[in-house]
Amino acid sequence: MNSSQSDSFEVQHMKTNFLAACLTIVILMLSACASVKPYEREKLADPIMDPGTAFSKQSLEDKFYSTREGSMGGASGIGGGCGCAK
Amino acid sequence: MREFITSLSRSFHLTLFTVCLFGGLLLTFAKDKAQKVPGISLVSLRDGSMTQLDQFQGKVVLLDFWASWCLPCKKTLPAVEAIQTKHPQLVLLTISIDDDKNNAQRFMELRKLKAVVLHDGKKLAASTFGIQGMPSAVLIDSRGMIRRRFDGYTESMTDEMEEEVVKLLAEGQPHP
Amino acid sequence: MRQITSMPRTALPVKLSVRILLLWSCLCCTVFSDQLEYTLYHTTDNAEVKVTTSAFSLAKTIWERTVLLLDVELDQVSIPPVDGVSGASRPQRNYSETFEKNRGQLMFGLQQGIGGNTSLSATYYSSQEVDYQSQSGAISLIQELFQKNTTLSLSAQYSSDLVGEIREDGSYTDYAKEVQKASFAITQVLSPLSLIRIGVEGERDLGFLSDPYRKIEKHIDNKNTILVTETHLPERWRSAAWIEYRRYISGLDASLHLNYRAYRDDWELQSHTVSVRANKYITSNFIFSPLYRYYTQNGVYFYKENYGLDDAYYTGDHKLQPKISHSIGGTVTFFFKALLDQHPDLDFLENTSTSLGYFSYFDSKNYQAHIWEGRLRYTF
Repeated sequence: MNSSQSDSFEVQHMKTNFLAACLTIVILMLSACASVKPYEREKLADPIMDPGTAFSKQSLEDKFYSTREGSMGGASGIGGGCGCAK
Repeated sequence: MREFITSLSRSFHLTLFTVCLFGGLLLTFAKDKAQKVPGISLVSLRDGSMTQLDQFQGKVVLLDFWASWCLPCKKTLPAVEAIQTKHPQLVLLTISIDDDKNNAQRFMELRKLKAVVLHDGKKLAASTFGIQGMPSAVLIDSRGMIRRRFDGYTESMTDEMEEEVVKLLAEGQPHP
Repeated sequence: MRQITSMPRTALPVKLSVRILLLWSCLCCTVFSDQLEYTLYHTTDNAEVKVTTSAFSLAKTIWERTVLLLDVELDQVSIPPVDGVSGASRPQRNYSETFEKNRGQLMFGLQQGIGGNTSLSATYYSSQEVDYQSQSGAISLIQELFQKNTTLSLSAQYSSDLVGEIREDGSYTDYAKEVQKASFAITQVLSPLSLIRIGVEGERDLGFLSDPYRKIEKHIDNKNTILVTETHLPERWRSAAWIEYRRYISGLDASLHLNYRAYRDDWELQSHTVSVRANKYITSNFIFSPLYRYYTQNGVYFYKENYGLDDAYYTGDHKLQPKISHSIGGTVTFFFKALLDQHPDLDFLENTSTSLGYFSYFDSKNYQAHIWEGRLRYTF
């Protein structure tokens, strides 16, 4: 590995570290502003806040888009809603 | 500069890790102190009468917090009713925290609930009892002390709840 | 550049991405209640390609915090003999006849709750059709924090595929492809009425990433051309980041979902997607949900209108070309609990709903499609 490659790798590594730190700070900040109690989640549990509640097939829209467009992503993520304990 | 940012980033991760570790340990080993049941009045959804939560001195009381929007609550309600049927000395108070009491009323009728149903639309009881999840149950002994909390629902949790009820009922029996 | 054959303009990577999406969408859910669902999809486009999908899915708690996940799906694809545009691909053999095929897929998995705030899922997926086979395994970890106000989800997936080519003489050739994928997402409840989701995904595709059926012309000189099979690079690194904001609007009994996604890959394709969905209670048991989506992408670096002999990579895939698309439509959802007041004996339908959706899709390449979606969901 020559010096420019090494520098580039180091810069990438620093960037990754910095991004990870920023992400952690964002999570902590977000969690600090969230003081929603389990008994205050009635609206969050409403079907209109999560039309694909629980185990549900991804809508055909998304399946269809992947056959027409070159990009991917955005289908993951879960949470919010009832927040019920199981 | 580069070294400075790198070392800052490392220090940050280390500090965060330490805080999380000790915070987690503290939460894990912190024990609930037994608390006296608060004297909160709630309205009954059946007849509109008021029920004081601390009026059952000398009896073991199970409070079951539920909501019409909470899917697992549909499983806990029949389970706690079954416990009460097996142990009629137990006082079972189910408390709906629905914003709109009509939703609770409708749910109660649809589910054919037999237990006492109180409405806590302002979440006064829920916040005072410090409910940590939905559904949630609180077990109160015959001295009016909060003895056990149950968050969530599993079949084994119901068994555990019944065991605890039996234990508290036995505690409340006068010694020969 | 001109496509020579009667092949649909969709590449095999499309089929792969559909598979990944389906598995991904199943994997990245956590189950709070048992549920049975039947979905019927029907798509037609301006090239008269028809795709009908029947899907059945089940989530059932089998023991304490252990949930069985099952998904069975059947696609029926019909591609006309003339130039077609679809999510399917077809061989040159008998190209003057309508090409029809079925695709079956099976997904099963287990989700295990650990304590009240953690769950682990493992999922296996298999799909089979006449000229494509796919197998995938995926694992997912979901961690809820701060009284379930913060949810972290981490997923990883590996897929191994065999891309088949049916030749004109009826012989068959397989090409190998694999996909490694990972994602991380955070959902944060901001208030009793709003939440935000942020996620990143990365994917590495390896092996045969072209469509063996798609032919394009390469110019030898000003007059002469030769016909060659599309050739893409054997590796592709893809990444996407997205953010979604959901807000309940109390006074209107409605909610608004705003979504933005940015995507880029090392073939230098970049895209931006913005979508807005509203959900409005018309009555207490009837929801109307209109949607608008805008999408734009540039082309991959090796995309050209005309290819010469010096070009090492060449594509006829419309998905790799610059384009803008719009999608507009809506869904209506009806909850059967509306019937219970008059028919209390139907109480088993309390948690059942049905929905019907229609979407119109059109892009800057003069493509247009109509998508219908029907769904019946029973929660128990």
